[in-house]
Amino acid sequence: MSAARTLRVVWRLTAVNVMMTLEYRGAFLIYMFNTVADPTISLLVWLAVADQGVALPYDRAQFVTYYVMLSVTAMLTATWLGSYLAEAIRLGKLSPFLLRPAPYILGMVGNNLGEKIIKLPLLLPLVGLVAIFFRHDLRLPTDPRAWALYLLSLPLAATVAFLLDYVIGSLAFWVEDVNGLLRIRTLLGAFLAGQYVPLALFPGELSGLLAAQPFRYTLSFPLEILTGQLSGTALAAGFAWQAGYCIGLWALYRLLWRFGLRAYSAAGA
Amino acid sequence: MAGWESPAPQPRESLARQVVRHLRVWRQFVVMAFVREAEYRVNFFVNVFDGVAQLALAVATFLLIYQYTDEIAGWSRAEALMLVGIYRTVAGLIGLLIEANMMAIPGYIREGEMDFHLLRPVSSQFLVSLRRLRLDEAVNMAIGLGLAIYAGNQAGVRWSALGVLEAAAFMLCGVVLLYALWFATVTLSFWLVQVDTLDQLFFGLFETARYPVTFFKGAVRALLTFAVPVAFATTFPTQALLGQADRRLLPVGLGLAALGLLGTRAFWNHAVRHYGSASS
Repeated sequence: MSAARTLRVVWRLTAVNVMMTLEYRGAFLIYMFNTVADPTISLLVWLAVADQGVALPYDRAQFVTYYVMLSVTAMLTATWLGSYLAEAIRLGKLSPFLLRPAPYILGMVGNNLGEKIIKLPLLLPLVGLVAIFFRHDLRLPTDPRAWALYLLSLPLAATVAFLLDYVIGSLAFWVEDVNGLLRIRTLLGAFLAGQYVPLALFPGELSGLLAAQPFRYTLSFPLEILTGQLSGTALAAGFAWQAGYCIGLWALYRLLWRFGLRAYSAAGA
Repeated sequence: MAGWESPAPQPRESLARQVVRHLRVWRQFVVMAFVREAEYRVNFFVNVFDGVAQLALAVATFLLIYQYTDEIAGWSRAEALMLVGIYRTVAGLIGLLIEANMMAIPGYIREGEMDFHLLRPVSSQFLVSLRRLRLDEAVNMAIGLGLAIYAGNQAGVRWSALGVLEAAAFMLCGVVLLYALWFATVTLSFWLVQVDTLDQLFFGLFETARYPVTFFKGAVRALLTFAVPVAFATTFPTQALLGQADRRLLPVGLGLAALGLLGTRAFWNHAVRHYGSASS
């Protein structure tokens, strides 16, 4: 399928999902409240630690920047497709989609983008309120290049997270129940992505390991760009890892679906 | 149908007999829960594992925080971990007794099952609030208690019957208050179709119980003490065990809990009177 046609299909599917999702805007407002409240509580805890007057890898401004921007970044990079995909494969709901002239994954992309388009305007005012509350310590980058890099790493982070879920969900071609695996991915993934504690505050001995694991590139890396903690080489290495995970997971997805669809048809579904 | 008529007057029954009757019904809920759990054994272990994983991550978060300091707002690491254990215990208690029920109530109303619950000769609030038990949460509760005792020993707690009793009383207030808050929210589903998502709000707020309220200042602390009473569920019980609780707060908590129960009862009865049933 040509790139232009793929884009057109994704655009249409996104528009459809925007309309469908509008129904749930009330529910989403509540989700967005939690999306903002959780990081704010973490921030208050770290500010209480900072008030003890101890030396920390982050100063107050970095904590505020990290946790205020965490909610937007986490929302924009979130995925929820894993269990839906696994169910579609397990119950044979995939079959009608296989007859359509576009890959199944594009529907999931459209759903992901469509929901985020509805969520963003609900989330931004809440983030604005938190930002105003912490305005004295909030220090967002003034250099437009930092924002450009953030905006570059954001879709890459969303892609890594999306493909990770897609790959795990695809295991349903062979494994009866992948929900346990998805649950571990959610819990451990959030922790290792810096959802609760910024990775820069993990013990120093772990830094090599933390930099190599995929979850950093689903959330932490764009935030690290905004806190201004990365040197030029660290930035380049980060983007290389992020792009590498995108390509690697994409290849894995293609491979899994090639063999998975055979296993699927063999099951007679 | 224009709403539920009050049931035909029953011969007056003493309060003690009513309590005994309800306890007997509750025993039956427990028996049923065991039967159900025996059907889904794998699910049981998955849920326990999930609880353990969540607790491990909460502990890891605190260990990361306490790398940098020995004390936060007067709480040592062992004391904070003790609170995490208490948090897990309370979360387990809520999961065991009420969580599954709160999540089921909007469905009863939407799909008409509520009619059957209203016809039964026990308090409908009692029935819908407690009929489902999640036994796997009892295991998570025990694990939480284990952590609280272990960390308590490390914190040098001198265990006393009075302290444990005081902690249990605070915890009871906390659980009752959280129940009242959640149940009042769920009661709204007599009028609103989509309140299920309000559960998410409740879970989000309850998450804050993982931290001592004294970590927070001013408005946030007041909010978490009185508006969203998580302080009664975790911070005050831990302080009671550490011998640092403000005893004046115990009657406040008991009063608020009683008020919460009476308030939800009045609200629920009001809602039921205006219930038109999904099938009529």
